Amino acid sequence: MMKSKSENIYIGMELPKLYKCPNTRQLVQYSGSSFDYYEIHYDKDIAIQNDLPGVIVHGALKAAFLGELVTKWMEPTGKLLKLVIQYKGIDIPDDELMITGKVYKLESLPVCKVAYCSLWLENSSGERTTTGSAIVQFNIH
Amino acid sequence: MNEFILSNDLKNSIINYPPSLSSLVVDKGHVKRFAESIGDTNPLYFDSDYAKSLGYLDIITPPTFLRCVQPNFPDILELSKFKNILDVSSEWEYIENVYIGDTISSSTVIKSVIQRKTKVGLSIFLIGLITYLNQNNSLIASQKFTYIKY
Repeated sequence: MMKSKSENIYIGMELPKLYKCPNTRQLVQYSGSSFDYYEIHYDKDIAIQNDLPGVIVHGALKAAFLGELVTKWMEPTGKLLKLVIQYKGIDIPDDELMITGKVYKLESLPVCKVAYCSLWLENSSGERTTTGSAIVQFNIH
Repeated sequence: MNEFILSNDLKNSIINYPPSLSSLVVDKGHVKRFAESIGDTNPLYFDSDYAKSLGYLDIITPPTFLRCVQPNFPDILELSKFKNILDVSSEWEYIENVYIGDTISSSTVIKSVIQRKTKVGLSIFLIGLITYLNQNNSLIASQKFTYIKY
């Protein structure tokens, strides 16, 4: 993958897509690594008692996917200044999620460029269940 | 549940709660396991030499690793009848890198409380701010958040 440098970033540029398909094993793994033991992510009975269809993917795991999308794209010269995440809907395990984004604004300053990106995560039905934005600074060397 | 009314007194009491505090020592093995759990194979999160070759002091953490500090939310007794919690949004601002070996402290305050009907029923929106400091008392990041109790 071509690494991002300030000179080849443009408005409308797409961030290279990531595909993730979290299964229940990954949800348990994430619960453990993040200390998030809310049962709706691994206990089907409790999830159903909470009016959910079954266990659901952690919002924070989806946020981490969006974070990975941006950091992969911006390396090695970019610095993440801001990451905004909005949770719009739930996601269930074993569904293929597409994570992507687009540069919608660029600011050119004397020593750096600042890229503003919109981000989103789509489930296999094409619904954007998580959206967000990021601001990334690229220093000009 | 319908009889619940969020009074101004209760709102003020929640907003004036003392900050909830938490802390975490950033362990190399934990950062690696966290990166594995999100499926991110970037060597910045486990390879010191690689991180240093890019100008970092050492291994850094993925952007959402700060969740692991487990910022405490105020335990609001008056809202205990709302058993369920949903994240609505998070807005992170990053100032300094988080490195392995750092001790991160978080402080959480609620800035506003709103009662509203949503598709899950009567919901209480809690909007707040978490600030994260390292062992040098430098502000490394902040996180505005909104979650609902319903």
